[in-house]
Amino acid sequence: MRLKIIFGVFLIANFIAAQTRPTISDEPLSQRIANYKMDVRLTPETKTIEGKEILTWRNVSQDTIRELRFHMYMNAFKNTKSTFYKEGGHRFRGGSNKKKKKNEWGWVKILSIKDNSENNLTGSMKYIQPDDDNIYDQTVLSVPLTNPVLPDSTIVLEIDFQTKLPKAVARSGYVRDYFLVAQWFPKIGVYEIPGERHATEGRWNCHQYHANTEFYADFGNYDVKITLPKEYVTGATGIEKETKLNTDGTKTVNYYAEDVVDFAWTASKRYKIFTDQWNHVKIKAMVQPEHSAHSGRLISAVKNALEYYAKHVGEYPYTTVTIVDPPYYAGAVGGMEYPTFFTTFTFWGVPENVRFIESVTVHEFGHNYFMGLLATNEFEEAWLDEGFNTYLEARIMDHYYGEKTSAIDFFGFHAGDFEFIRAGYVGMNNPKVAPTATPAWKFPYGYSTFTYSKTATWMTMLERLIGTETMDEIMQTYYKRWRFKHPDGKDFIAVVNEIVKKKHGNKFGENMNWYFDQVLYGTGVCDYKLSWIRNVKVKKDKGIFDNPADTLNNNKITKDSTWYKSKLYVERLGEIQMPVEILVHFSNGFEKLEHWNGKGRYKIFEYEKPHKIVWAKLDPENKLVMEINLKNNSLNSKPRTSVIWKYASKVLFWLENLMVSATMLF
Amino acid sequence: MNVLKSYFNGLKTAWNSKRMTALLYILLLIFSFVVVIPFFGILKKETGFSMSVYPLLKDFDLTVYSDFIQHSGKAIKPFVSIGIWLSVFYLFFGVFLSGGIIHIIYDEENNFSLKEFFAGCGNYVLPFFRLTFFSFLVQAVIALIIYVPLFAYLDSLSETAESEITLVYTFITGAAIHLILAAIVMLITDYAKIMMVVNESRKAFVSFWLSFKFFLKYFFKVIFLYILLLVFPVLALIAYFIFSQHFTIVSKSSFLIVVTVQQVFVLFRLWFKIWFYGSEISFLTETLGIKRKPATEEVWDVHALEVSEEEIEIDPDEL
Repeated sequence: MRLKIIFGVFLIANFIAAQTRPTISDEPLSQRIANYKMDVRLTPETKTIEGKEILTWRNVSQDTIRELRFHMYMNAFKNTKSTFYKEGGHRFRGGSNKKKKKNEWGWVKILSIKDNSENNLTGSMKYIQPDDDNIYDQTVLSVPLTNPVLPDSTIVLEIDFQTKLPKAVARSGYVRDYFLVAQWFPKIGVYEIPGERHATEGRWNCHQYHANTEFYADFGNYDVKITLPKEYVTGATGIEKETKLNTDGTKTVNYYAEDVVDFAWTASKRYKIFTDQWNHVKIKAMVQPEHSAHSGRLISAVKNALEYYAKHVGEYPYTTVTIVDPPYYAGAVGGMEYPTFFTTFTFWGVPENVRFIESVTVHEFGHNYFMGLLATNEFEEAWLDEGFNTYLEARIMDHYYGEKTSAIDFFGFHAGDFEFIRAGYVGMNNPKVAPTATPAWKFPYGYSTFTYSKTATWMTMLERLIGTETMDEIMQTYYKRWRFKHPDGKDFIAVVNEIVKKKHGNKFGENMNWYFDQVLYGTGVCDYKLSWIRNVKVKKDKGIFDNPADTLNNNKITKDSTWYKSKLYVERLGEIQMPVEILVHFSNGFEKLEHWNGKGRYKIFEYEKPHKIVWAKLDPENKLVMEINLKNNSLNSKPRTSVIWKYASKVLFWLENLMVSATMLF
Repeated sequence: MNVLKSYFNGLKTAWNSKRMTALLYILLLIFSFVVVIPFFGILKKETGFSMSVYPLLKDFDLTVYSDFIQHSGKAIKPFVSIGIWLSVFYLFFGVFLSGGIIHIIYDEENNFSLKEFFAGCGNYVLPFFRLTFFSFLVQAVIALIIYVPLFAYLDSLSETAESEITLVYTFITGAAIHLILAAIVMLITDYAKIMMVVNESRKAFVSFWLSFKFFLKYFFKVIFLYILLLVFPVLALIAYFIFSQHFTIVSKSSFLIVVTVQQVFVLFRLWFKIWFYGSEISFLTETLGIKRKPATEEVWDVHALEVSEEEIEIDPDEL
């Protein structure tokens, strides 16, 4: 009993300490529902982490909570029967099982779990599979409570856990003595209250670990002490508060983060640290020594992203950002995002104008906003996370590195970031296979293309239709209204409807639902076609006319003046209906911009002028970036063959060289 | 120094071989047109009246290019495989032509006629094919000897190497060794062809072996000559690269300039090949003290070609 009292006092003191600790920000930025205090030890030889977790969880709902649910995501790498592997996890970097040894699998287990009344809950916990009934999947744990959590009250749990890290797979684990520790501790799921996202009544939203998605968690504070051999250089979510050297050759590093949804960390003996500052943000780049030359590129990319996000979306609220550059042999952990901390990917000798280093860095940093701050549900609406982030990535890359050169500008070959993204979507074999608004694990195929590329493409198209200024206001409002919360698709659409109406009135209709119904919830494609141009000479009217006005044509047709009846035929081949602009060019150089609501299956534009139509161009300002066929968007009655000559001569030249080279071989 | 003398003799030979260069160029052009003319037609048909490809005139544009490939790729694709197969065929055709080239320039007076040229081609086609086959086998064996252990080593290295630099340099070293050995085999094959013409021999293996011994005996001189011969082709390549990077097609005249430069570059490559052979023939004959003789009709007497080992001008023992 005495022990119980001591333990109870300890937990309460701990909770109070957590709530009254000097904070990074002056006041809580989020509801701080899930707060963790952890004391863990990494044993590099066995690749295990053992630790104690004190979880302080607030029930902000009006429900009495009788069960808690936890992410036990390291179990996704426990065996080939996990949902991660069933869904094709072997396709991921490091996912192959061919050469996997027994000690290279990963898992997490709770050794004991007690509540603040010292009820031992260990015996009653069980794995559940809310998504797919795969009984072998142990990535979600249900813990029935002895003492329910009442509305507006808090539960403190003491959890002893052990994690065995896998050999790096799907962006987490170890290789040799390199560690990237993510999805590693028992983490509580999200209890959604009615009205939050799609919830109509209180419910746990705690998905299994899927091959493509892994993020959805509540905000909170993390106070984590990591003990490990002192030779290791560490980095983590949040700020490094202190490092203490221990007598046993280890050190304990204390990291602290506020108002974040996750905590990840890394340890390696080889990191070289580069630091810089951008306004209030301390940038730390943890780089492999052989990649030192790239440190400037990484930091510069992050500074660009910080600046662009601050201007076009909203200020970065945290005071640190840590860039992690894994070694080549741990490439499986490259390109992943955690709050204030992300991994990128570099390779020795990559030329400055091959910019995947920058694009990965900008992308992963962007996740601080999309998923990190606007804590959407990646499982159910990955487009709000990856899609929006990809859209901003393209804007940032194209802004700082050039619209046609931001991805690569090397030996005459150049391409922009957005160009690559769009090409991914329009190049799909079947872009109609599923709507973008499909839960991530339910796509038959093409998850990445639909989520990343298609979303970024229709976001860009939306921006070009309504204007960048309006789009910026949408993103700023969405951010301001929903940061540190869990928005869903309808919340974003509501912001779009509000801002578009405010800026443009009814120019685009009563609201913009028609847009999202097509690009987000629909499966159709956008394809308009300029089918033909016809110029017919107007002839003098002949015969007997009762009304002289019926022969007006005859007056304008003279020896020196020929008139034409010209027609331009435009078709809609795709299902998507968009407002369309058509630029019509006449033989005297006159140009007319036509507008069509794009709703019908076809539209004919007719003219009677002393000049012919020479050419016409659909969507001359390239707004309809979802157009899957640009070839049929223009017509020239006098086609130019100069491009054909150019490419035929190129082919001639390269073929000649190929043949001459072939003769030199033997 | 007979290397420099041979180098300039080769230049003189190439300079005097304008008609042969022209012939080689025309043949190359004819082969190329097999692909290029239908390609032009398909391109014209596929672009039709669309203006979408116009941006490609000035510069590369990924959006336009990928869109075109997406919708017209199926029509274009066959030309890629035809081009590759044509190159393979031309490889053999090149072997056929090399008989004529060497035969003509071995004649010091360099009396080029179509009849002489094709007679030389026809005469050496079979032994040269045998030599090519043998050379191919040697190249394949060298590649296997280098790359199988290299990749096995890289695989094991990747388990322990701290940095990818070690892997990159290891691979570059292996590939460089392969490149040098492959170039040496090409060089030996060239000299073997010349020896077959000099000896009027049809024995590919013997000639390859003699050439190999010659190469070893005069290693530094052969390599020096080879490096000298590479200077102008490399300079031409650099010059073309700089030109292609800085010259943009904006008008018909600029298009004509580009096409002319491209074709001059191709012409130079053919001309360099003659220069190579000219210098190598000169070096071989000067080094071994062989008196070059004009090609005569009698040479093509089938019986005359069946030379015995005693009759050959290059004594294997001398090498």
